Amino acid sequence: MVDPIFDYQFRLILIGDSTVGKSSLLKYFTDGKFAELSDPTVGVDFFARLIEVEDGRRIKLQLWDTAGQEKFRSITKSYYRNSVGALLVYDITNRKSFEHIPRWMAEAKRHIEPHRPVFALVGCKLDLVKNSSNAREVTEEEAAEFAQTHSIPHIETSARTGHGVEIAFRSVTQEVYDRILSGEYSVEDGWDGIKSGFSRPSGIDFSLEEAEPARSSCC
Amino acid sequence: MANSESEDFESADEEVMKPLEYQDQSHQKCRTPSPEKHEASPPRPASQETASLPSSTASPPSATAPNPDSLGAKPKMPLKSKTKSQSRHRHKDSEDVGVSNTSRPNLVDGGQKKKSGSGKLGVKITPSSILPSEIGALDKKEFHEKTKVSWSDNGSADHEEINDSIRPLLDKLSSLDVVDTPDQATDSTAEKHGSGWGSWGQWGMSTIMSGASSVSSHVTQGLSTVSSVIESGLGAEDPQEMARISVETDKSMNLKGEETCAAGQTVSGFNVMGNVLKFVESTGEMIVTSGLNTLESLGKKTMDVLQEGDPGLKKKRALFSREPDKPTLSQVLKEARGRAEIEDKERAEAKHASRARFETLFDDYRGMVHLEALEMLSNTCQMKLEAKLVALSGTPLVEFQRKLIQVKEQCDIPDDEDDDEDEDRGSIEILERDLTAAMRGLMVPVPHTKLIRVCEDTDTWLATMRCIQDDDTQTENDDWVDEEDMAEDSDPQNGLRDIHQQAIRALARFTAAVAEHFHKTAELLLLKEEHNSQIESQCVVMMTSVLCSRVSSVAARFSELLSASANMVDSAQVDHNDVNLLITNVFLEASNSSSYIQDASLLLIPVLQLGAVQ
Repeated sequence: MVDPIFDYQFRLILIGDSTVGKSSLLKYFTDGKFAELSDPTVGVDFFARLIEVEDGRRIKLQLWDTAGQEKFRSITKSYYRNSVGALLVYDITNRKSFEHIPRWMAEAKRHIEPHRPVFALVGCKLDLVKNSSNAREVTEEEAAEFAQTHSIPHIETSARTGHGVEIAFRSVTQEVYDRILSGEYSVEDGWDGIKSGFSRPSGIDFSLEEAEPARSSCC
Repeated sequence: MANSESEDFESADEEVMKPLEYQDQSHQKCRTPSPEKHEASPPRPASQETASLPSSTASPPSATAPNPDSLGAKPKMPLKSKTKSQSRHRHKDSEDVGVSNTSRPNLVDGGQKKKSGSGKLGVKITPSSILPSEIGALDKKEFHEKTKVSWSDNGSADHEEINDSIRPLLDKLSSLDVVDTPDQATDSTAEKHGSGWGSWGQWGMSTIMSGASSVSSHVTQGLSTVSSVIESGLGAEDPQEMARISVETDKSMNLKGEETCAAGQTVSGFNVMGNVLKFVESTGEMIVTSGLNTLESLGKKTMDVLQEGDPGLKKKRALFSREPDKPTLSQVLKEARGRAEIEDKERAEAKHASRARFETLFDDYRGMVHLEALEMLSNTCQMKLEAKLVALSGTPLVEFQRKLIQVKEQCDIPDDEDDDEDEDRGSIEILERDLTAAMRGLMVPVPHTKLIRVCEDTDTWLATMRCIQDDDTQTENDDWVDEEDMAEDSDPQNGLRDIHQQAIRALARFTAAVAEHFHKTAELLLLKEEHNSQIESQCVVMMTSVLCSRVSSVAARFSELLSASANMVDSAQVDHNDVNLLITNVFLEASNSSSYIQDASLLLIPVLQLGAVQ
């Protein structure tokens, strides 16, 4: 169960072809477990986890795990709108899943508009290519290059070993939070991408906010 | 005319209000303005009255001289001579035809006023019965002074007569060794002049008298009003009323002020300066004394009230005493307010917490987000429907709208359920049977295993609790062996709260499962190729109603458990209001849960409508 005390809630959506490992990635991130077998997602499933950003603020991540199957495409489109971040997930051992990434990205951009979502390129099933490099169909370089051209982070992960999972989500969360601090994002009525949480006593919040500029000025 | 005197009056007015310790000063103050008046007054009356009063203009200097001494002497004046002289003066007055007639009613009027004033005093200011006599004495004093002054002033035509009336007085005064040169001087001047002044002097004097008496009566009236108001106000008087009356009193005071001025002016007009001084002095005195008396009675009354139920004011003194270690009244009040605020806050928070717990749990079980997702789907469907609607026209449009309305009507949930099988409707068997039927009718492969599992968990928990209760009642009768088991929860209140918590949790979990079920149903309905909207609608209605029945059944069973547990334990240990509150809360959250379920089913309507028109 998620601790009810948090400062913000970010809604992140995971998109990508079916069987690339979105649900497994989320399961590891929220449960720390890996399921050898899992049913294909119907429509959308939900996960949640609390995470701390660099200044110690607690963020609740509400994670929308969409079905990758083509037949659900029409339904999942409805779910994009209220997301602040999107993880573009592909399977390192599946070339096609990587080739479809630009399409997923364009779709996310179109449906999340007018908001500009935070993206991250996440390659899954890294554990499969550790031992036998033959299995790898997408090189780390080309994925990184794609990420660089779109100015988004790229992380290779394994839901079995947990490698890179935490960093993938953390980087997106931090970027969203930084954009809040910079004023690009804000809590808006009618948009659930970012919500303010059950706040702690306001005094603590104020002291944090007041302490921050002082600290940065002396460093 | 009034302006020149209003200041004097104001000073007198202030003195009435002044506390006791300023009495002496006020006396002095009373005198200080008089010389000014003495100098200032003559020119004006002269211009007004010179023609009619040629002889009077010369006298002022001599008038001032006797004042201090006569003041000292007057209390010794025998009453007889006073009344006598008064009657004579009045007689003189009536004989005098030339003098203004308007002043005479004044005299009568003043007397009447005085009477009514004292009458009022007798009735209204009960504590200060001294007042009337006081005023009477003052009047007499005044009268006497004036008699003397007028006599000394004029050396009148009725010289002998006055001499007759004054002789005993003079004798008295000389015998007291207080009479000195001024008196004799005036005596000689009186003899020298020998012209008809007396009537004038007497007229002036009587005017003063009437003025003074009317002033005093007014003042006392005003004061009596104030005091009576305050007396009743000591009970519980409307502050606005008080304010209004005080304003009125002020007004009447002002009126009196003008009267005083008028009287003073008239006097000065006749150049009877001594009279003016005395008048001002005595009026001031009178106002001060009567005012002080009233204040005193008020103070007594206040003390009486304060001391009621608090002899010696011990409590109140303790409350107000400003010892450093003891808190002041304002501190006490501040603290009390602070405490009350905190209590209110806590109560509100507790209320909010119990209210929010269901929402929080519902959110934690992902019910909320499923509902949100369902809403998004529903909105998408609605948008698609509207897009289709815009594209249509003519008969297809009518047909299209008819279909939409039909689906909507079919989805109306009947208000009253048949109560026949009310007992069974909440059971898992009925729920499973109806859900299976509904899913078959909807033809969507949404498993209801999760829903059933949630229900089974709840039922198992309830059954266990009932078993424990039954065991408890048995062991209670048989022996004491299982006492430890029974005392699992040492505080019965905690046990009840646990049951309540479990009830809310079960409801939230079930509702979340229902939200998920509806969400998945909607998703799969959208993927379906063929639709029979009538059957689909019926199934949705059936599903909704069986789920709502389940909610009320769960709520009822938890409430039964709560009241049974409350009855089992010693009634002294349990606050039955608390138990009722918990039960009410369970039913409240159950209705909340039902409304979530009904909202979810309403969100399905556009989905069904979209299926119907495809």
